[in-house]
Amino acid sequence: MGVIFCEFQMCDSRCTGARPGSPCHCDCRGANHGRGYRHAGYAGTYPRHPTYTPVTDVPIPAPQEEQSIGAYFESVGKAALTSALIYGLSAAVPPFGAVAIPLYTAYNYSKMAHNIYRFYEENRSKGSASSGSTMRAAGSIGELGSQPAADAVAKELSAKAQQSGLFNDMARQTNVESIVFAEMIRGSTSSALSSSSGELAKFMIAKAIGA
Amino acid sequence: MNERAFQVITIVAARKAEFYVKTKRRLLASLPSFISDKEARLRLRRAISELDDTMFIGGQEIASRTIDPGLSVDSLNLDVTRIVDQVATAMAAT
Repeated sequence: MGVIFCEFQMCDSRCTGARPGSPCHCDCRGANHGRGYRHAGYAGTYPRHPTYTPVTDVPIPAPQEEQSIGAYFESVGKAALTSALIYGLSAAVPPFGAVAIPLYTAYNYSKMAHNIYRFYEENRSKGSASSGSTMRAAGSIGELGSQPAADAVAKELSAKAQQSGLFNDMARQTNVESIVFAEMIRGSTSSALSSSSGELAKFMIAKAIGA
Repeated sequence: MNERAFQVITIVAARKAEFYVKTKRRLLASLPSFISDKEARLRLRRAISELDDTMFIGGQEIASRTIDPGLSVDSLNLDVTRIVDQVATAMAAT
């Protein structure tokens, strides 16, 4: 809302109670100034000075545009983000949850992978029977070369795994929400399907110490 | 894809989750009040999930072609610069 300034203020006790002789800034133009309220003689409004024009057209300041989150992380927030990311990759003393994840993975990766693979095979056989499915009967790794196709398959797979409760035990043991694992499985599956899946299968899995 | 590939995917996804959990707490503590915590979390989660899988396999693991499922991300000797650059770019996207 705009603010309208008046050159002269309304005559009130600030004027009548003022020190006599001090400048008067109100409508009475000094008529009541310093006379005390009992003796104030002026009760109306003098005609405005001919050159006085009340200010009415005050431009309303444009609302300050809040910085979008993307713009924030591109500018002033970049340093904080970088610091947090470096910490995330190098923290020797992580928060609870992050500590438990590698331990859980060491003992349970095989069971989780087997179940996710089962969902993948089920969807793949449905895809070969139905022309409407997003899954194609990909015989070899990496046939789903396009990112959108890989994303669609990965999303379907991850959603199915989450709905079946596959990540619930991990969430419970690590105190990390199952949606986090679901999203990471989705992203990793998409990455594997669209590019590096052929390379991934060449890795052996070392037996974790104590497993 | 065979089951071995899914084993690697599972291990990589768990490492991404660990990275996310470690980063998130630090990041949210530094955010100003006008930035939504929820939106920042979602962006960070999406950005990390979409990183290439090979970025979460350690140099020694690539050389030996053997992945240890029990290793935490801080002991993998990953390419920090590349990971930070890609996540920062994704977070800054409109």
